[in-house]
Amino acid sequence: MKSRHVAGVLLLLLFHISSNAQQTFPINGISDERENYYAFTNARIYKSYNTFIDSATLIIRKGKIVSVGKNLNVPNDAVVVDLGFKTIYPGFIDIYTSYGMPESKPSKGFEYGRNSNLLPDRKGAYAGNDALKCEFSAIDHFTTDVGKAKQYLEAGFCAVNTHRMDGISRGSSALVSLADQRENLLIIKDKTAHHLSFSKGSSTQAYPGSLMGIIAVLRQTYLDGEWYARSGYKEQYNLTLASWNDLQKLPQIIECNDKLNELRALKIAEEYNKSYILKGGGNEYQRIDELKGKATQIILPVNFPDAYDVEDPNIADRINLTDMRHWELAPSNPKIVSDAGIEITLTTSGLDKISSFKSKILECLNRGMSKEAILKAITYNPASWLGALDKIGALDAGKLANFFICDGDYFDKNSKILQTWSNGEPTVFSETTDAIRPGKYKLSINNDPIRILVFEKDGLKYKSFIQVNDTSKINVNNTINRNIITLSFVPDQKTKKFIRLNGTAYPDKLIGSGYDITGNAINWKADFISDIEKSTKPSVTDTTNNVLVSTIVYPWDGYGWKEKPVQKDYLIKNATIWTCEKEEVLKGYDLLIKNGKIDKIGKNLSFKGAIEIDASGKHVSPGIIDEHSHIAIQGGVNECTQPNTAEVRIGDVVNCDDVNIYRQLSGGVVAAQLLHGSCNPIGGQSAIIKLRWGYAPEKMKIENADGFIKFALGENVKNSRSSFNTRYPDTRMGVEQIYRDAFTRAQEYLAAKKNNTLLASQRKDIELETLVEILTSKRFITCHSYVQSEINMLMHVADDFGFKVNTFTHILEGYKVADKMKKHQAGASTFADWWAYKYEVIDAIPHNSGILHDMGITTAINSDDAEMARRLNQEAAKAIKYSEMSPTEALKMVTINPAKLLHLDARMGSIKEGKDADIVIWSASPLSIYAIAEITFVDGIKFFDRNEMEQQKKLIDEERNALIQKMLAFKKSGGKTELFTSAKKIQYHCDTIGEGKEESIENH
Amino acid sequence: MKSILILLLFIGQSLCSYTQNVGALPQRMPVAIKGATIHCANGKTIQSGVIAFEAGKITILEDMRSSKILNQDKYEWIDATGKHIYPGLIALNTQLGLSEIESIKATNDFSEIGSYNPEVRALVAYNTDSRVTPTVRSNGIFLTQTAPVGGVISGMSSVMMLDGWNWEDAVYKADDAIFMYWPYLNSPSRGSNNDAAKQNPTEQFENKIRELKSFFDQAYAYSAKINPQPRNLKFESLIPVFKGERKIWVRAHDVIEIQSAVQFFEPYSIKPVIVGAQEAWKITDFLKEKNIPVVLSETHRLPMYEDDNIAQPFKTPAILADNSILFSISVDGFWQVRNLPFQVGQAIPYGLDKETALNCITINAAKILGIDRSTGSLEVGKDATLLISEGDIFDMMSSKVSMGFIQGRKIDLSNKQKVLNSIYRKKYNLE
Repeated sequence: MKSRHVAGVLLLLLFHISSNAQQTFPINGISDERENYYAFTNARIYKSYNTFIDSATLIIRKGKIVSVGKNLNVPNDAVVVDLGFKTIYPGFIDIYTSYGMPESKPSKGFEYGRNSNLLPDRKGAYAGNDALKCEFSAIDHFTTDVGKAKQYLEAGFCAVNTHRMDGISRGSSALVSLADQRENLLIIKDKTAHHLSFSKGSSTQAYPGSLMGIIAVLRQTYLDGEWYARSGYKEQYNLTLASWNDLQKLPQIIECNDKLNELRALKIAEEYNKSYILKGGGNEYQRIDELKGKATQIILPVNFPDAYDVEDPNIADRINLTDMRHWELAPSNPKIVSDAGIEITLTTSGLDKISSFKSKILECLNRGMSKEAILKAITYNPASWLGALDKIGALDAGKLANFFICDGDYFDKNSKILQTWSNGEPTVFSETTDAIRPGKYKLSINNDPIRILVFEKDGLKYKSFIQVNDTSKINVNNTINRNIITLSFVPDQKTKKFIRLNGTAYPDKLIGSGYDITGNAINWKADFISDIEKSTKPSVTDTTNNVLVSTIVYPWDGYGWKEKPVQKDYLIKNATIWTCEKEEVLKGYDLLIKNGKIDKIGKNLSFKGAIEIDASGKHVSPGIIDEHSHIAIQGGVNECTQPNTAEVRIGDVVNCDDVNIYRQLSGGVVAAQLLHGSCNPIGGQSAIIKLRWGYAPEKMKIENADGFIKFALGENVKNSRSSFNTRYPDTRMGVEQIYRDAFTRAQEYLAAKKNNTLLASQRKDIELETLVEILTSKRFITCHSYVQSEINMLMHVADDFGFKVNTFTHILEGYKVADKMKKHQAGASTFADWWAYKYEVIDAIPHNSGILHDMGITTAINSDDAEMARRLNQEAAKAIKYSEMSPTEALKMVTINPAKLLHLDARMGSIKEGKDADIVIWSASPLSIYAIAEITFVDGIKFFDRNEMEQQKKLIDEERNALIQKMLAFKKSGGKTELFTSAKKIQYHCDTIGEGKEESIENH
Repeated sequence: MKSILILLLFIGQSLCSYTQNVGALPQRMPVAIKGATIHCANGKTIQSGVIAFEAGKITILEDMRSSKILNQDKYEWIDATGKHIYPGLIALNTQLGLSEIESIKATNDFSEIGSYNPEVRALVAYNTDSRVTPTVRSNGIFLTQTAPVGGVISGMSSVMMLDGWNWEDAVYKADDAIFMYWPYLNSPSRGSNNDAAKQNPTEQFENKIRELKSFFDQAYAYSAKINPQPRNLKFESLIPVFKGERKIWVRAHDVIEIQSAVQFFEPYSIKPVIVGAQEAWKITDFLKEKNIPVVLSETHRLPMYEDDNIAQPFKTPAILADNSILFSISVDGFWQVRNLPFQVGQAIPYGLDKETALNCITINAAKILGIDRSTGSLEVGKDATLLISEGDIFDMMSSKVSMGFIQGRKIDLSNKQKVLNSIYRKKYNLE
């Protein structure tokens, strides 16, 4: 039996049961089992992503491939479909979907007393955090979704890996076919992967409320899993941890959605000896050097952004260059990642419409990615990663009959997917054969050959016209429904009357009847004459789009570097040098920077090869160190949700792209302590960075710096702003007990660690480990503090537990207890003149730093504010005004003193031979408001030069203009644009909760 | 014992300032100050001059070398050799006197309920006894325009002297202006499910302007009525505005907002003062042509956009000055106002000349307020509102106000912070 059309198959599907499985379900009627035994002949068949066979045959039966190849014997009992040189591709696989999963709604962010539970809300034998949903198994919840499946099938997908996108651990996924069959038949593989993410999903439990909190939960869960397997199971049954341990055997897929999160994931993988498949964000090209060699498999989205509507110049001003660049560069991302030697797969995840998948693929192709590489990414790779190559990913005997039929090369812009077969079941979008053979026909009406009728293929439809002569045509309207055709046209423009025809199509002729313009019945036919000559014009592909005007810079900001600056030797001549050492100020001295260090200070120095900088009339100072900063942090500065979050680390969430890094270099800042916020008594661990603008987060951290942690007292930890506080502590009384309790537990933990019998069953607790570090003077405290009572209290707690409070920060009433602080050997890091913003600063005085300093306490001036940090030199100078401090001592409050507080004074903070070349060249005395930082060196690398900044601003404007012109041209040519949506950057302060609110009142 | 006695005396004396900000007594005898560099804020600087004042007004202003009044007994002489004399500084657009502690609602009187509140008056809430005021005054800020915030029309400001027993004494110009926030042309927020956010931003903006227009049109019509019934106090507060006796100050930052605000008021023949005006530097020709005064917000702020020149806020004042736009610089806050001279000083290394820098918080501020006939510069006949600084007022290294007069009244420059400093320095023997 030979069949030319298989359109009826879809309809029949509804009434029969595929016979590729044992009958276990009751039926209503009589048995109607079918084999779906088909032979597709005369096709170009892509057996795999890199091999195809022409004039080949594919035979399928009972949902599986029987054979593929050339010159196969077509069995008599198979339905034969002659594909007439169409193309068969292995079905695409989307590894990252939630197809057929129950819905889950993300919870609202943490707000004191509202929406959030301070404790877990789940009932059952689960773990202590509701965002760990390890026990969820996609296979248990999967149901088909015919509507959604059709969207995938139409785009060429035959199978998807699905999981519920909810939780930090989301449990396991399942690999399923997209056919409209009973779920039992669709499961290709259960428990294909363990899914993780950096988002807590629907959990209403307050903790974790920040990205660093989520990372802490991940870390602790790895440790808990280890403990549970070792001995924890003897103490309790824990469904979550038991599942967690089972899941470890699977591939681990972690949703990152951003390049920096990917670096974070890789770091966690390294710590726990895991290998992650990363779910990317499409911006990997912005940090490809760091991903290269570390990331091995990345799932990439293809939801490339639309162009912005930039016609209004004022609106265009609001769009960052980086956003415009991303519009241009995003389609190059898959190629860049793949060229870096990283295996990729592409997902429809994030696309508004799955149907736009092909257009996105073509954009990748347009950016130079090979067809082979693309096919591999959407067939072989996902199958291979999920261990399902035996069933999908290529067309081989024994594998699932998962493929689609395309009327040409899939990568041809005009080609169409006609049918997609999943599990041997077709979904038909169009016939596999043309209803009409495209070409020229001789049209005769009532046997009178009158004109040449032409049919041209236009996608899945036809264009038809009558060729009058070389230059003139008559348009013919057509409706073609399988082989039934209807035509109408106006033969004479003067009469404007129609001839109406209908008929049937045969391969070599069309034949039928109709009416002429006067209404007389007529007979007509059209005999095939010839094919249409293929136009020799190359297909119009949009090559203009390939001329890229964007630059890829590090970090991802307008002021980023095309090439990262490197260490050079510099000789600064004839400067006034503020050493912040005993010799104080040296006038007319030279300074040699060599190998990143201050090599020599002296008169008339020379050094071959060093770049000379004439600093006559200029001042040179050590770089400014900000002891209290919240810049360059991602995903929240506060983990507010528990009074003690010693386990969270700012170091996990450093954001190297924050423009404030560059802005602060322009104020002579070279290093900063990035602190956790102040909303709980024991906050998170801080990160101490140098402002190495352009370097990856890990490279910004100061090597071998001591660890610090943020503590906080008073109104913020009591949550005094809200009338809804439900979290302990609500008073300064409670604050003390939080500390006493935490350190008591830490002491017990430490004792247990030292006891071999207890150690065997001890759970490693990263919160307590951190507190133990404090007890054993391996980690040091910077404590947010205001009033004397609380300052006093914390020193007593510290004395009782045998450690020191390293630094009191803010410490606006420090002057009231300066003698006690001196005795405790605590340092102070304070504001110059802030007050009156809350009750606990009612007695703040601008003379505070002067009194503390004169009492012999190491005193620093800090910013806690991205803006103020750019002029900390001026803030220090206020001590000259209010406390008659000498300018040299005032300068020390932002250089060597903060270096001392951070235990970095041996290598930073002053100008001394052998120290790090963290140097600022100022236009005037660094304490003067008239001083402008002209050049800032960090480690002998020139990270800021004011002249270069002005040049860069010009380049930014040029590049912006080039991109705006391109977007305008794109819009004019009919491209889709979207209105700009604001993405205001949040500046973090001490008490910013969650991601912060734009309108949030600044508070410290 | 003696030192304790002195300490107690000192404390006793200063506790006045610690507990209460009392008014200064009127000038009783003529005062003359000699030897200082006098910055007149009218283009003149007298290197070593003599300035004398009687009954609160400046009577003599001359070079010391040619002075005829030197050593005359009728004056109480002050030797300020090597020091600097400036007009008292004027802080526009503040909430000074309307708040004690920002986070404690009970102490805040700057924002009324509702969005159209032209009728509310900062004047009557102005607290002369605020503990914050002396900390601002001791840095040389002697006049403030205290204004309400919030809503669309926030209410009426008044110009206050930072000296007085009560607001009636302290007021310099009552109800001088009505403060507004211009609607912001929003960009819809990304991923927002909020319907309002999804609405076309231009349409949203237009709706807000239409609403304002209707309010002002009706107020304008109301202002022409002889005996309006029923009376509308909101409209009545606008009558002086239409007569040109009260100004409109509009807080607006973006180019679009600024232009929209200026155009909005043209039919009423009103020239608004633009406050904030971060993007004013982009439309200097427009502002100049329309003759619109600008009151910039703090220079100590981050650039508006990531791609902006990173020093843009520092550079903006010089750009306005170079384009001859009448402008001032303000500190939108209360305790923060004490840093006003430094907010201005910040612009000097970025191209603002010192003379214009001084003018912008003295005479130009007075011009924008419409009080320049009597104050804002040091000239014979004007108020003797002036300060003596140990050095350059704009640089924290040298800015130290050692004496001050408001309309000839000698001002107590102490404050609770200075007192606390002294007490604790004594405690620790740090003197």
